[in-house]
Amino acid sequence: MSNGIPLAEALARYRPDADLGSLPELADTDTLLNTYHPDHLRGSVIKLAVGANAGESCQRELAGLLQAEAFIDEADLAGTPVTDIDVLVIGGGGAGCAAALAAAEKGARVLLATKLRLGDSNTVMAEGGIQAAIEPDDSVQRHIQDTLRGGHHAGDPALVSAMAGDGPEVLRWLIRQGMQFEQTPSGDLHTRRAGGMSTARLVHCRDYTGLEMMRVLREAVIQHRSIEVWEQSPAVELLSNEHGQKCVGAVLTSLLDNQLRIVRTRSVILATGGLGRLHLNGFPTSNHLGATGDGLVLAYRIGARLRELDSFQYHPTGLLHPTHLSGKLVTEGVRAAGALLVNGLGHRFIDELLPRDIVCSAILRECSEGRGIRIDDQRVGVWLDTPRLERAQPGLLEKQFPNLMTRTRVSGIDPRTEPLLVHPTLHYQNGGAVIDTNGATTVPGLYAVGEVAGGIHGRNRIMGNALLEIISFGRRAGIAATANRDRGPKKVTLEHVNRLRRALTLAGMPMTQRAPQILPDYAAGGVWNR
Amino acid sequence: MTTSKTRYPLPNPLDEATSHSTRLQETAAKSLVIPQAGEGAPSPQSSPASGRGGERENQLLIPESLRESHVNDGHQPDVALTINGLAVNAHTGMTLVEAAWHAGVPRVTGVGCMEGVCGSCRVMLRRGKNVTVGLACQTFAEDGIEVVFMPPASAPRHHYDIGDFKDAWDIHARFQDIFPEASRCRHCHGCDNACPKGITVENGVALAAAGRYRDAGEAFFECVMCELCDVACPELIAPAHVGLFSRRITAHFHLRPPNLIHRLEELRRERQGATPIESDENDNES
Repeated sequence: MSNGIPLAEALARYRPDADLGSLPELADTDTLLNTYHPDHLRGSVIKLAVGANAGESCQRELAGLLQAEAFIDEADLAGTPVTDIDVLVIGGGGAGCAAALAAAEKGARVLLATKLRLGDSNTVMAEGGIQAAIEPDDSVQRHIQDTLRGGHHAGDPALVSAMAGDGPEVLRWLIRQGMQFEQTPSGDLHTRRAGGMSTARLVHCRDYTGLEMMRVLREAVIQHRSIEVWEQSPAVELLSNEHGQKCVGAVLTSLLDNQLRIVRTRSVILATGGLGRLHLNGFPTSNHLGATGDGLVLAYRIGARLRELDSFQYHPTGLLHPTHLSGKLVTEGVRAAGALLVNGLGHRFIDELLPRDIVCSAILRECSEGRGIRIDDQRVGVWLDTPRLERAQPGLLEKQFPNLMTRTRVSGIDPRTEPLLVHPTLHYQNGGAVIDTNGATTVPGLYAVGEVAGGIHGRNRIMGNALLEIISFGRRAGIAATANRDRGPKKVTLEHVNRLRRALTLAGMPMTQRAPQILPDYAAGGVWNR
Repeated sequence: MTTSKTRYPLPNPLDEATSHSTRLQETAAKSLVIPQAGEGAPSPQSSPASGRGGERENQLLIPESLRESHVNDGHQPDVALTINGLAVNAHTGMTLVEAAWHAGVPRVTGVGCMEGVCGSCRVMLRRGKNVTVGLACQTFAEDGIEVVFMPPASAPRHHYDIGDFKDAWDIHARFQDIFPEASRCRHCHGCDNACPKGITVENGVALAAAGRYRDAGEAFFECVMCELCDVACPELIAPAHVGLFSRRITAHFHLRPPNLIHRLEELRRERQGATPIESDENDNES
């Protein structure tokens, strides 16, 4: 099936100073998306049979996990040690840390449990930046409009306006925590314009924005007196009250000693992130090792409504080479700075700063219509023309994208002289748990923030809104979760698990698969085994 | 599955014709099968799994390519090394993380981003008598190397709450209280040698100890918080945390961007807008 232009030929044709010709007219966005976007691959979407979203569309592999058997039942809980805490945060990325800090600031005792190490997350890899409407020609209203338009108007306007309105205050909070940002000579925060934005709105810390954010929040959490952190402690199940109607805690396991632990609490905040490591539709992913969609599985099983389960973001520029970095990102910031996408014929084929789903579809179109650059039978991509950028703005790559330069240097590649081969990569889960402006899900006592929550990005997220969302909603949920001052749960049960088992049996579904996944199969040399 | 006849090693196609990739006699550590839209390819490789039930083998393509059974059409593993005491085989071009997975080494959970920014996959490496540390996802498998994945870092010994700092004039005194060891550096270069990012750690600590927090923080710009320098320091200085303290203090006290401050003020007045007082302020708003 390999079509495309052989690498040697494409390279012979490539010149950083060549005339790229004029940009072809983009005729019909919808047709492009419907034909080439992976969400529309034939057979990749099925209807859910049980649960709060029964009858709705869901990506096939994800549906398998949502409608799977649990790992534990009541017998496993006997004799399991119990910890009581005010607020339990599951997930140690940016959203989890922001939620934990906000709850702790309100005086709650917080337990933050994370599957891997505190800070192991997609946050740490975010390169591009964080959106906030701070420039004089910009406004919160424009930010809202760009976000809704980028999401094809599938987003919830109340959530979007809450997030966009928080933007400037989020930056202030981050600076107060000690996060640095790039400044102009006059001391303003430096902004860039990226895909889907009507004006410059992307605030950044070179191309280490996520790392800078994560290491500051991580340190703040570690240093906080009323936050306890359990690392290597993935959640295997939530706990409900005797009616299965309210979330009252969670069951954690440990990758170190395999011991189950019960945490009893008034509020649980899910901040478990996305699911790139499920490799939906066989795509590579930019995500970190722990991104296996556990939060969606747990939330669905306890009865929470989810949304946009058939919509995922494939980032246009994942690296195709070197292989050990395959699927890892070249930040959109590089395109925002002026790098162009060029096909094997040496032509531009799309406005690089259109929303990600459109650019992604355009790259897949080039590859499938034989204008991609073919490395071997399986790998086809297009050029990201970094040498041209370097010629136009000498020194820019070294100065603004040290992360990219460091990573490629390890592999002996120099983006200043060689164009990068890129191909779309599974990047982000657009949908997730239905939440309100406090991050509360449809299940009392259960909050969801960050990538595991849905409704903000509609069917396509624009760059820089993820880092804003995790802080904005992380803090909102952290504060709201402390408002519950009841006496805590009387009884913790797995009633919701029994309910789902009954529904699966009635629907005639097999219960052979268990979820959550915890670790990808290829990393199962860890102690996690089912 | 139309997918894989995937195996190692794929020759690095970029090697011959180009200036690409001078070092890596690259092989496919992971070979991905990328679905091509069109050409009838969309679903076949993933379709056997109905989406539920246990056909896990069909769900993931990468893991299959990492399994031994898919690797042996003529190409045997060509690197022998030791990971956590186990003798294992790997292919040239694999990182140590991939080598550990490939061989099924148990208890390797200190892995995060796999692109060298999370600092989780700390390893101790021995080549002959030469012992070093590094990040497993940034180190390639090589013959005879002994690798030990290190346990997670212990809890920090230095405590402060940035909210307690009110006056930037006091910070140097506070720093000496919090990190008293920082001024006792014995210049052993242990931290410099340990840093997988090539940070001039020792110099950064000296800058902080001299009160030059902005410069110190800049020295630690690429820090990924692997805390290998903390492990290496015989004086227990905790250089990574000194660096982060320096960066945080700089932002906390000195980052006052006018464009952000102006927008915050506009929003504050907008919020008050419901009250009649602000009737003449609308003129100023955009």
